[in-house]
Amino acid sequence: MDIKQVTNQALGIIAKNKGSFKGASMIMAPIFTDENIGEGYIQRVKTIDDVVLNETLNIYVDLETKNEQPTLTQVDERHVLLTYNKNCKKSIKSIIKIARKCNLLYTHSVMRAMEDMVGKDIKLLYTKKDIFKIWDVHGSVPEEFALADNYFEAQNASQAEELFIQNSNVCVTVTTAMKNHLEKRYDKPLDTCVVLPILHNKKVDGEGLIAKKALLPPTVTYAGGLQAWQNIPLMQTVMKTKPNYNYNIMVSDPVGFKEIWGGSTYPTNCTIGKKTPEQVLTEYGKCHYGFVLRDDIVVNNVACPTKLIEYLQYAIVPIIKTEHIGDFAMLGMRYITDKDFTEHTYSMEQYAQMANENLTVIDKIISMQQDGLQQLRGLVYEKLDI
Amino acid sequence: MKSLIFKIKWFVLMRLKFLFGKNDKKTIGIIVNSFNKGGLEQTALNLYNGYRKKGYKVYILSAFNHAPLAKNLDDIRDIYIFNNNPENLIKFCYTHDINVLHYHYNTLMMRAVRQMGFKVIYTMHGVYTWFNQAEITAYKNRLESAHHVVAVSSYVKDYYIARTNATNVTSIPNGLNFSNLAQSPTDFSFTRENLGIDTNTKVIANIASFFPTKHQIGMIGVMEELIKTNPNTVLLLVGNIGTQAYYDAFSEQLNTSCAKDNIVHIPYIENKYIGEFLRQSVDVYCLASLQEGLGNATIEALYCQKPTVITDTGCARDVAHFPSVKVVAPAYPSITSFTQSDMDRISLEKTNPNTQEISDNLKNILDNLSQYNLLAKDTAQNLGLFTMDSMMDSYCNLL
Repeated sequence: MDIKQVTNQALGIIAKNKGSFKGASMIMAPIFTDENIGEGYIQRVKTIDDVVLNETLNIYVDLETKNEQPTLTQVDERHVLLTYNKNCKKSIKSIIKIARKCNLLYTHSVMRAMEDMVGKDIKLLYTKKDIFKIWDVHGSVPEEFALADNYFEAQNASQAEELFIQNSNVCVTVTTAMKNHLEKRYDKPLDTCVVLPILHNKKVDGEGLIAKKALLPPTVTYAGGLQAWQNIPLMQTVMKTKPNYNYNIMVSDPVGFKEIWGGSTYPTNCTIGKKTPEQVLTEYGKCHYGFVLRDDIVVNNVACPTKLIEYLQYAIVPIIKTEHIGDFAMLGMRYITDKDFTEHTYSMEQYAQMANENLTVIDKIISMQQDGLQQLRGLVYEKLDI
Repeated sequence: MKSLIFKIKWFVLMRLKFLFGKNDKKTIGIIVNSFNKGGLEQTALNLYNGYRKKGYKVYILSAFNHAPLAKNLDDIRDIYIFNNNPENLIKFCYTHDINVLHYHYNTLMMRAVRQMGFKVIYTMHGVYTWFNQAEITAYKNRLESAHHVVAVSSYVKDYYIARTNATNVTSIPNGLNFSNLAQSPTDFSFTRENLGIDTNTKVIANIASFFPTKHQIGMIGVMEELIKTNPNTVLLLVGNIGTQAYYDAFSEQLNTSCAKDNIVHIPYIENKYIGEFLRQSVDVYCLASLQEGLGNATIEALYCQKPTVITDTGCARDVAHFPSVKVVAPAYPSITSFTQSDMDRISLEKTNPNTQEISDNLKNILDNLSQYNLLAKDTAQNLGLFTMDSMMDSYCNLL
């Protein structure tokens, strides 16, 4: 199929479905599949599709494929996938033509406008005034690349970020901290910014868990990887100062964790193993404290880590290195610093009080999520042919 | 043809920008090959901070995507990787209103940017002994496009003039951040006691990574001489292994040396402990380098009130007037005729033409330590030339 055929076929699908949906959305992101749904990025793409763009015909555009020729796949009744070659000059022209027939353009993260990933002509799409553009920021991509010492990609991401700041009609962030970060960086108020955190798990009986845990010996958990930014050596130093606590360490690489530990003696009750996501949540039901020893850097300051949300939902009081993680401190999260944890002993009553107060933080996040969804749906459906 | 169109296009655009744009505000681009953790790059970072402190907008323009030092910048957008591509570089300068280019070793488009109307400064961080005469002459021809060539020490300046007869060169020593040295960390552990040095032993320190230029092997010969008269002396060589082969050669010579019990290698002392280490555990500082740009470690030792013996390299000519500093000729006749093969050969020599003189100076200081300590105290009060403020004032005068 050549580019003309793909364009015409896509336009035909939009025209044909005009009465079936409330409108059409073009979504700049890879479409979710059984293979990629495990990725955090894709989970948010799917959530937006499920709860915000659930009444529109959704046309996903993927410019990162290596195919020479463009393709069009009707995934199901409501989803179409278009793939293009970023190096073909006609690709952007085709995308613009189709976008103009859609009611809005929803882009997931600055990565969809980084020149080296999707081609230099992408600017032509995002500077079009007659296309209603929503930019879902996701994380702070420039800083994420910088953290990996890749400043070339960091500058590409910065350029893309600026392109979105200057041209988006709506921007969607996962935290208020991210909104504040962008406003400060670009010295520009983001008037139409929707803060939309997303909770993936179903409601947990936090109060019941606190009552149950009061009868158990104090247990500290960590679930996650061994990446440098998880500060595993610091975690292990903290563990060594409190050998009488129980530790339930659930890591992707138990051998690697033990290698970092070295030759020192383990705390008496310490289990180190690999668990499935479901098993992790079950184990959370027996733990009182959890490590989130992230550094005080932009990537963490603006993030909304799933791990932290799960800890609070499952009545686990976080042990942290910095309180500047997303909006949690602003929402009143109770926590223990690594230093306090090593220097003090906390009673079960103190634990219960902190865990209980943190349940109200979860309520606040749920409320933020609902407000954000309502606001975003309002903005989206204003643009549709209702 | 494409290259010619590129040149004409940007020449015209930049000239028009400089002619008709608001040019009253200086925006500075600091050009480096990479922004890695080296001495040159640290100076570039200090300049970035210094220029910003003076109110200028500054960008680091790195030719290659290797920039771990960038995490120290205030804004991630203050670094631009131009992939050594002239068009990327000029386009960025154009869109970001850069009108001053401050080069460090890289000389990409230097002549062209001067013609376009940029202010051009070049900082020379060392003696370019690897260039033969034809190469250094070609290099000088490129540097003639700079409004100012700045050498980081009088020694570097003298060297460059001697080899090229250049006239547009001046000297501005690199500024050091002395506040790091003033710290007295409570967890300091490099005490004499912990190092196993008794109170009657005198301590000489040499702080440098193991590279041929640093000539640690020469210090073995110096110690062999010195312990003949001052047996209660120990040399602490503080530095990581830069060149493994050189360190291996050093170890081999040390193992058969009569001074092996008087020489200790300390692989690494974190920067925040260096001041306290010099103050608490060291009596005399000594660096017998074959060549240096400035030699920050020497200035740090002077700041920490240590009597010092150094070869005539780096900052030597700028500190030679202090009575607590003894400057000795290097281990070869002249730096202007010094070549890479000379370096390879001499760096492995334990005994050199200056061995006796270095040893004699160390002996003299050790035998009169209290008198030299007073002189060193006075020296430490007069290091204004090497402060960050002094460096920035001098550079800003060139703008």
